[in-house]
Amino acid sequence: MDLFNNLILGLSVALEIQNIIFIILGVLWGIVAGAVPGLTAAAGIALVLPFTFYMESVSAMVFLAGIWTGGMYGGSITAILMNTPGSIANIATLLDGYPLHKKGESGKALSIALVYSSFAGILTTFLLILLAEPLANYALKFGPAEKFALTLFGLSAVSSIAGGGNLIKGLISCSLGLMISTIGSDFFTGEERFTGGKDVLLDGFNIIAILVGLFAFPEILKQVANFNYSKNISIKFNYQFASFKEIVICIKSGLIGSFIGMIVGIMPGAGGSIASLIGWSEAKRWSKNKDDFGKGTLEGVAASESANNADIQGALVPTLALGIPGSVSATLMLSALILHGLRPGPLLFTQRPDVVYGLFGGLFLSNIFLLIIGFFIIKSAIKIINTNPPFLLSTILIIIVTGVFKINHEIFDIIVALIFGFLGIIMNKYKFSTAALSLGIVLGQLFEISFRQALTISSGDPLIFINRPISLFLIVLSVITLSYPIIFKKKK
Amino acid sequence: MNIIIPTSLVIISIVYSLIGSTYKSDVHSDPLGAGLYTVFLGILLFILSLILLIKSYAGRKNIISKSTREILFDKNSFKISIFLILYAISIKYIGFIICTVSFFCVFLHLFKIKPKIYILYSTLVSVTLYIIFVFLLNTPLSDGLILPDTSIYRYYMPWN
Repeated sequence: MDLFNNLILGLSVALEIQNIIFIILGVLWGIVAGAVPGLTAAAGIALVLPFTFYMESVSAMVFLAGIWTGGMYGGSITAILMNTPGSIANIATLLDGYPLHKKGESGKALSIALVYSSFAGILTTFLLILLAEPLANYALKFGPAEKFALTLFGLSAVSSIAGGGNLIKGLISCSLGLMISTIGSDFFTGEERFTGGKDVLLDGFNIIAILVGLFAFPEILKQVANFNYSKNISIKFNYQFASFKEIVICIKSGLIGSFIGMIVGIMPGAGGSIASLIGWSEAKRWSKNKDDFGKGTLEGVAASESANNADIQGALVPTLALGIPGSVSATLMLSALILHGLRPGPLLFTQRPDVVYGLFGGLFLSNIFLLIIGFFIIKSAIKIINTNPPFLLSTILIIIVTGVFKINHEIFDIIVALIFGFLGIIMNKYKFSTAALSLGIVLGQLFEISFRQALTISSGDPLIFINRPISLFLIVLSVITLSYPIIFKKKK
Repeated sequence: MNIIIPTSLVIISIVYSLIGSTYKSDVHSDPLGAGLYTVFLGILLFILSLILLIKSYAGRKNIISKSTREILFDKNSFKISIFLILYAISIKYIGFIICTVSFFCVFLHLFKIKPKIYILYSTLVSVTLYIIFVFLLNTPLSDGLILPDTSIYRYYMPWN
C-alpha cells in the first residue's frame, strides 16, 4: 500500500506541467549527450548542472533524472551503429548490437535497446521506492561514528574500483578530493584554511565549477583532439523495428539484466559498465541460445541495456537513503541536491517527500517518455551525431562557460572550471580516478564533520569507531573493499 | 621513467601538511581541530605518493610513460584552452557578445570552416544566447565597456 501511495505522490508531483516539460527536455538532451561519442550521460548532467541551480528542487531533480535515463539509452545508438559505445556503460551493448547492425538488423537492435532500457527503468523504479525509505529509516540509528564509517566505506569502494585497477591511484585521487574539500572556513572554529586570504574562497571552490571542469571540459577537448578533418561520419541503417514476438523472447534476458543492474548499482563504485557486462554474461549463462551471444542476438542487447538502465535506480538507493553516491552521475545528482540545500537521508524523506517521491515519479515518467520519444528521435539523434562536430562543440563550450559564470557572476568560477578541466585531462591520461576525486570533494565535508564530531564525543578516543557495531561492521567492510584488489591481483 | 607526477604529489602533500600544521588544533574540546585533520590528510597523501614514486622509479610498472608535452593536448586543444582562459578573463571587460563571437570565430577557424560560414554562425549563436540568457532567463551577462548597458531594456520586459 505504501508503494502505491508513494508512487501516486511521486507521480502527482512529477505530472505538474513544468516538471513534465523538464523531464521531456532531459530525456531529449540525455539521448543526444549519450549518443555523441565521448559525451557520456554524466557529462550531459555536468553540462546542465549550473542551470539547475535556478530551478525548483523537484524540477531540477526530474530534469537530471531524465538526462541520466536518456543518456544511458543514447549511448547504445553509437554502440550499435558505430561499434563505439556512447559511454562505457554501453560497452556490452556493442558485443551483440554491432554484429546485428552488420547483419542489417540495426533497427531491431535499436528498438530492443529502447524497449528494454525503458522496461528496466520502470521495473526498478518500483524496487527503488521499496528499498530507499526503509534504508533511510535505518540510517536514523547512525551517529557521527557510523556516518564517518559509512562515508569511509563509500570512498574506499569507489577508490578501489575506480582507479583503473590501481588502488594507489584511486586512493590518491580520493585523498586529493578530501584535501580540496578542506579549502574555506572551518565549520567548527571558523578559521580560514588554504584561502590565501581570498574572500572568494571562504566557502571553498564552487562545486558546480569543479564538476563541470572535471567531467565536461576533458570530454570536449578530447573530441577536439580526436577530430578528423577527412572523415565524414555518415550513418545509414535499416529502420525496421523488432516484432512483438522478438520483444517477448528477450524478456528473460531483460529481467536478468534489470535485477543485476539494480544490485550492482546499489554497490558504491561499481557503475553501469560493470552492471551491463555482468548482466550480459549472466543472461548468456541462462539463455538457451548462449552460443549466439556475441555474434548478434537481440537477447544480448536486451540484457546489457536493461542492466545499465537499472543501474541508475540502484545507484540512487544509497545516494538518497545514505548520501553515498555509487557512480559519477549519482555524485552529480547528490551535488544537485546539496546545491538546493537538501541533505540526503531519512529527514529528506519526511521533510521533503515532494522532492524524493517527485524524483521517483520523474524516473518513472522519464522511462515512459524515453520509450515514446526514443522511437521518434533516433533519426534526429543520428543527424546530430552527423553534424559537423566543431559547431556542436563550440556551442556546448560557450554554454558551459556561461552556465558556470551564471552561478555567482564570478570569472573566478570559470577559471576554477578550467583548472579542474586540465586536472581532469591529466588524471584521465595517467589513469587517476576523477570519480574518486569528485566523490572526495562532495563527501569531504561530511567525512570531516562526522570524524571530528565522533572524536569530540569520545574525548579523542578513536575506539569509538570500533566500539559501535554498525561502525565496526562498515570499517571492516571498507578494509575488505580496499584489500580485495590486492588479494585478487596476487591470486591472478 | 617519468616521475614528475608522483614527485609533484609528494611536494603537494608536504606543502599541504606544513600549511595545515599552522591551523589551530584541540580547540573547544575538538581534539583534531582545523589543523590536525589537514595534517592527517597531508600525511596520507605523502605516503601514497611516495609508494607511487617508488613504484615508478623502480620501474615495476610503467605508471607514467609518455612525455608531459604529449599529455594534454594536440595543437588545437591547446589553442582552444588558452583562448578559453583569455575568454574567461576578458568577458568582464569586453563584454559577452564580442568575446563570444571572437571565441566562435577562432574555434571554427581552427577547424578550417569557411570564414563566411563561421562569421555568420558566430554572430547568430552569440546574439541568440545573449537574448536567451539576458532577456528570457533574466541573467545579466557582462555588457563590457564597449556596448551600452542593457539593464534598462531588461526592466521593461513584460515578464520581469
